[in-house]
Amino acid sequence: MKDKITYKDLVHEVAENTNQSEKSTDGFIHQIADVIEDSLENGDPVSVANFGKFELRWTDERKGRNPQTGEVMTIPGQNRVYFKPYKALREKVNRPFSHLESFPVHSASVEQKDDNSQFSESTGNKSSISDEVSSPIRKSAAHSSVDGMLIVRPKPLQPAVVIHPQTINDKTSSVSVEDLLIERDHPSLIHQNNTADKTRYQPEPAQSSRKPDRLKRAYTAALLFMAAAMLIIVLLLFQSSEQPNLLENSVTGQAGLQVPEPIPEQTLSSINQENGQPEAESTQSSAAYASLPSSESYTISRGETLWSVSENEYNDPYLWPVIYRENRDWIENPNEIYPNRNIQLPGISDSDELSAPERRAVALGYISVYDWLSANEPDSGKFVLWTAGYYSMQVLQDVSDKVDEDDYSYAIQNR
Amino acid sequence: MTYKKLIEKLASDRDIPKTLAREFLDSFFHSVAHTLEQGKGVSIPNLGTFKPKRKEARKVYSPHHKSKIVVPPRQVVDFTPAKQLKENLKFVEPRDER
Repeated sequence: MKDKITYKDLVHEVAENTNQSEKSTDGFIHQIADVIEDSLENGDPVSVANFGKFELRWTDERKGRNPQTGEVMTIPGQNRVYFKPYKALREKVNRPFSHLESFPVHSASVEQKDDNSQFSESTGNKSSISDEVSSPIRKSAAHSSVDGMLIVRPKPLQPAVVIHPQTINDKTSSVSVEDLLIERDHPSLIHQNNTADKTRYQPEPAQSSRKPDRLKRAYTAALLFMAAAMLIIVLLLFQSSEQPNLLENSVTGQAGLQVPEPIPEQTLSSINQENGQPEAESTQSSAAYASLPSSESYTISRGETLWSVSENEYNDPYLWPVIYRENRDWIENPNEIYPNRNIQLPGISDSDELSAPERRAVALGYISVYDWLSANEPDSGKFVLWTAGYYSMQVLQDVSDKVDEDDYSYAIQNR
Repeated sequence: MTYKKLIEKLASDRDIPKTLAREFLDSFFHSVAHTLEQGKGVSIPNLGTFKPKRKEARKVYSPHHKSKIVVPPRQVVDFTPAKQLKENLKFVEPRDER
């Protein structure tokens, strides 16, 4: 996001498109700025079709602090130049995220947390763990106190955004979306943290000293609550029950047909080594997992999510359903995976250019997720189904008679 | 000021045909939009800086769903007015507040 093009580049581009000299283009652009300024000065907002509107907005006098001295001062009322982007521009800029949709939060686990007997029982038993866990949370709470959104919630984002429900797992009361982004920007950085987490869950050094003094009493209470909630979740992980995958079983048959292109195992193992990920011995022969030819065994570290594993291993987080599908025998909830568990990673040769069988495998992965969602969060299934169709229309059509009609019609629209 | 007026004003100020003024303007704003679309920013002298800005996913209460929903991350346009423009207009009396 820091990338900028220079003004010179822009002038060059405009000059080329209009067949005018760069000099006159430059003059013209300066003139645009002047005209906009004049117009604003006269109280007249400037509207540019398909782009946006420049206008003045009045900000009332308010109290502020000098950030350096902490001195309270009065900021006089003043105009701000406000730019309101129009829809066409907003859509253009948002294009990288345009496939994401809002997603109702699954609240099943919240009820469990409200159970006070469990609350006290678990805190009583394992207060040491709670101490251990609370410091990283503190960090994130301090972090998120900036926007205030995340703290109030005892539980972090559950199935986050439709395409990546896996932004969270048990550890993540602390991190969630922020981590996701750090991961995206600096995969290697998080990676180290993950490795560290494996031995022992430790607070990440970076940023952790940020303004703990600002934490208010209420935050502390929320933190304790979060810690307790996490304990309960951890306990629950060991007692959750199985969920039937009706639809999934019916789809499995087709998966077997779609395995023409073997992917060299070397690819994956070399990726693993590069990343320095712990690589466990393969416990299953790859033939047992039918959707893609080569499967690698992989051990989940603390703090990892299917989403992050997919991002680290495949270089594309959106491929996580492939992993889920491959391991759904024991993953009861794709939002919750446990550390130190071996999972099978299907081979994906190049996430930028998925081969046809790989696309189908990803689509089948999303169908698996749909399957899970329809049992647990029926309202959100259609988005996943849509994504399945994005990867392979064929797969979507194959399951058309097995999925909810409304979901299907949603999934095939807007193509 | 509408886009049409803007074109007319620029055409007369610079003494060029309106068609050319329109072409310039279209091309200019299109280029800026295109730059933003690429995830890059650009500074226009005397006007300001446009750049894409990432908004994180967050949870909000949706009255429609009567529950919390997760709003996905978005990317929006961030416009910072040029210093000169900002200062010049800071204390202009707003002619009509709408």
